[in-house]
Amino acid sequence: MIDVSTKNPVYVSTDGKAGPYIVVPVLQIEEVRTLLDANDVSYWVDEDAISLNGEPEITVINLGHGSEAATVQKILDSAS
Amino acid sequence: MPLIDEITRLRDETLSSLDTIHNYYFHTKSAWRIVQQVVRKGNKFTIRNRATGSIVDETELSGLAQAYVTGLLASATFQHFVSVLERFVSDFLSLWLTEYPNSLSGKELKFKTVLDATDKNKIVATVVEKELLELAYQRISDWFLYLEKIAQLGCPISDQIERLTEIKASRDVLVHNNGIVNSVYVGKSMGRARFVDGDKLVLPEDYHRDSWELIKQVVKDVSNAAIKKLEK
Repeated sequence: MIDVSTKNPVYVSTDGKAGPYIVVPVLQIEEVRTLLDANDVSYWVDEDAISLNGEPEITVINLGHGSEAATVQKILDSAS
Repeated sequence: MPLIDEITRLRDETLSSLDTIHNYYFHTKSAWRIVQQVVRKGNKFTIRNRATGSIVDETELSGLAQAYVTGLLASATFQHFVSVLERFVSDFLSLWLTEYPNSLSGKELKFKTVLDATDKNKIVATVVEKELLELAYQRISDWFLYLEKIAQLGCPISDQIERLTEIKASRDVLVHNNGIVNSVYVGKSMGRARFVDGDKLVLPEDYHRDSWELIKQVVKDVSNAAIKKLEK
């Protein structure tokens, strides 16, 4: 899946120990949610939408401790 | 100040406190998300904590931000919501019992308390304080049973009490068991347990928000029902 703002692939962040997460443009939330739901991936979405320097709003999808980042990354990549 | 005005003040101050805490949660989380975005855009920095000696760079801070947002920040503000609810119930009961102390007429007290009191109000305040101290150690469902017994307001409803009981049990796990679910939590949750024994308790944002909304609703319902009753 391509980030419509950066034109780069959407990726699963794994920094830190709090579980993986995905930063996505607000415009693509539903697309990502549909994909995660279809693959039974549990997650929750931040309520805040942040725009930096006037760029398109982004938000965060939190996957939590139990999620396999690599598996979710494959799911995202398969939607490209 | 008349009781109706006291309850109105208590309601408004409690709701304002809850909004302040939620704004703090939301704005702090947003600030951390902005930090993560700044890092994703390639900015470099290091931060040294002169007190602990720890040094983190932008990559480490971005990872810590995720832990702060989903862990410490959510937990601290969630616990604060529950504290505000506890304070509200205690203050409400104190106001009500002070105005209508007849339900405490069977209570015993030391004669010294009477001798030391400057007037009857002081005696009532002492008995009310003692009563609420005993109640504080009981379950949250018992608090609302007590409220209904003395004020007959018809709220909160049983569904709200069950949800509040699970919220309080979650708070207790965070405070007393380092966030690891135990059988006490499951037992306290009145069939509403979200986890099983041994799980790490987490606070997804929708749960965090639902808890805040429920507590606000209960504060409004109880206050408004009391105000309506007092207006008659």
